[in-house]
Amino acid sequence: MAQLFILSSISLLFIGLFGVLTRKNIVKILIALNIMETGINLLLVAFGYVENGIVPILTSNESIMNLTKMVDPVPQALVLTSIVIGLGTTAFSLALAIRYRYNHNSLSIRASEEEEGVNI
Amino acid sequence: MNSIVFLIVIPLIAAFLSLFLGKNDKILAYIVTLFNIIFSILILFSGKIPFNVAIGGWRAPYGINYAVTDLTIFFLVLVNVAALLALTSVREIMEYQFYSFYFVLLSSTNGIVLTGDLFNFFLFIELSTFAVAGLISYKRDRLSTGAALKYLILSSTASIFSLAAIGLIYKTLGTLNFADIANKVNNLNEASLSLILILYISSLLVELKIFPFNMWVVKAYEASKTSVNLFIHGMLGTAGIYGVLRILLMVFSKETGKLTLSGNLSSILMLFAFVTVIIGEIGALTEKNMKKILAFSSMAQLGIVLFGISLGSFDALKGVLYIVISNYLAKFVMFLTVNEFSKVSGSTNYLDMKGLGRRYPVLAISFTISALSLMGIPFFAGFWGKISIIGNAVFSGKLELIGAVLILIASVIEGVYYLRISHTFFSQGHEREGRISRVYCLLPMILALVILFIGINPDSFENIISILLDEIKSPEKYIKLILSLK
Repeated sequence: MAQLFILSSISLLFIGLFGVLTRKNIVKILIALNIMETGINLLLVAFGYVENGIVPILTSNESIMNLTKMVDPVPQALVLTSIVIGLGTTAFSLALAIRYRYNHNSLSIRASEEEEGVNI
Repeated sequence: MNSIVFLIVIPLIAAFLSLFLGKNDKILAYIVTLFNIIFSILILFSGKIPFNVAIGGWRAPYGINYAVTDLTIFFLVLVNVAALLALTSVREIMEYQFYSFYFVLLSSTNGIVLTGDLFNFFLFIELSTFAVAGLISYKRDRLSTGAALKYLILSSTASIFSLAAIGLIYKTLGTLNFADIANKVNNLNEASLSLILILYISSLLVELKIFPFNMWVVKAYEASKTSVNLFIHGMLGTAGIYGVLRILLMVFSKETGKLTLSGNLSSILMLFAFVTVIIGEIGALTEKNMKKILAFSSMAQLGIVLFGISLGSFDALKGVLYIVISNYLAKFVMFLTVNEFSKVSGSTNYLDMKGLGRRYPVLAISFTISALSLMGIPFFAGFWGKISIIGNAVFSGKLELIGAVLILIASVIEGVYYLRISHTFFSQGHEREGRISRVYCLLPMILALVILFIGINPDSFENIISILLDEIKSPEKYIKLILSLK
């Protein structure tokens, strides 16, 4: 099961990377960035995954016996933080994209170069 | 010394306060920056260094800790002084967005230098990315919006990969604490260490402006205001160098204080440094716009820094620290001079600045002194750096020898374009309307005198560097301090 998680997260990562590298539309690039982030978040959760694991909360005195069965909570904390960062990045870059649209009258990432006369 | 957290928290509070203060933001910015400088200098002379602060009372491997050692306090003072020096170049009234982003940048660069936890480090790098992108786009014109967006996309992609590296480290070593990783890094096999480093270094190289990740630099420098250039150079760049020194030399190093990457990886890093130096110098040679020239030149200097770090000898590291300090001071002088001259001449093209050196000899001479220091002419600060890096590289191996020759060629190219600019300053020009106040000439002059002082009297600075090198040489002290092992 953990292998499946890791495999799917790596494939999400590379789908996103492909999008970032090949798309011209800024909104599509940002969506691809989000896909990459989702992949990494899944990867981190997969690192803490335990087969048939239980929630890492000590509910009673007996639950300390199940310590080896509990999933690792640290990657989950990391993922929560990185989701928040991803939200911030997306919001901020979308705001920049709106201003880019006003300035260049286009959403193409190459709009600025094309007007400067650079051949790509 | 739990109060060390104030260095990060007070700028963050100020970032929110600045939304409401309107025109008083400038005063707030000076107060907070001065507080940071005075606080870090007080720590420097308190005699308690080194010490370790466990946030929330959770002991080091379990909680986040902030460690203050000699290396930390050196870079802490550099970052905060850079903030103050860069603030002095803000003349016009800025809106609250500028100061808000400035406070976030100040807080995050202090955090990068102070933190002892890998994930915390990553968070502060992300925070500084937002702040820098916001500062670049402050002008709101076409160029700055595009530059900010490109920087944001590049550095968030890089930081996603560094997050993957953090996950791998947690999976393999079960810890994210710097000292704990350094303690256990010998248990890692070669392949996983290489994978982790390849993923992790990318995000550091974005901040360090090294070759495959540096296409944002020139656009960002050109599009933003001089104060923002100085923020990127003095705060983000210096904190990035600290990150590389700490993470590559003290955390992920199997031998004490040396860069121990598997053979190919360290050659690749060295090749990146070469290409950065070549691109930087040739780019600067063909440019006419002063801001672009300085951006290319700071790229080249950081390439030399990376080359010195990848040599893996302590004498070369000494050179690296000299280059860091000389580049730090020289770029301040140059940006401040260009800022004043471009206000009088009305453009950033250096051909339009003809004859300004005759009217304002202090500024032009300070510019020339820092140019000579960057080139590595004897009796200027940069000379001592270049001589120890080249002297070590010549006898190390074939690739290193090529690097030494490249740095010498780069120095000649630097000489060509910087002295061309200085010559333009001093050649005959026509009369102009604007005037530069004497007060603004004072700061570049003082910084140039510091460069001269370090150059003529390197022993004064040698002591500080030897303390820093002692810390890099013995990471086990750092491990003992944080994990409080017996």
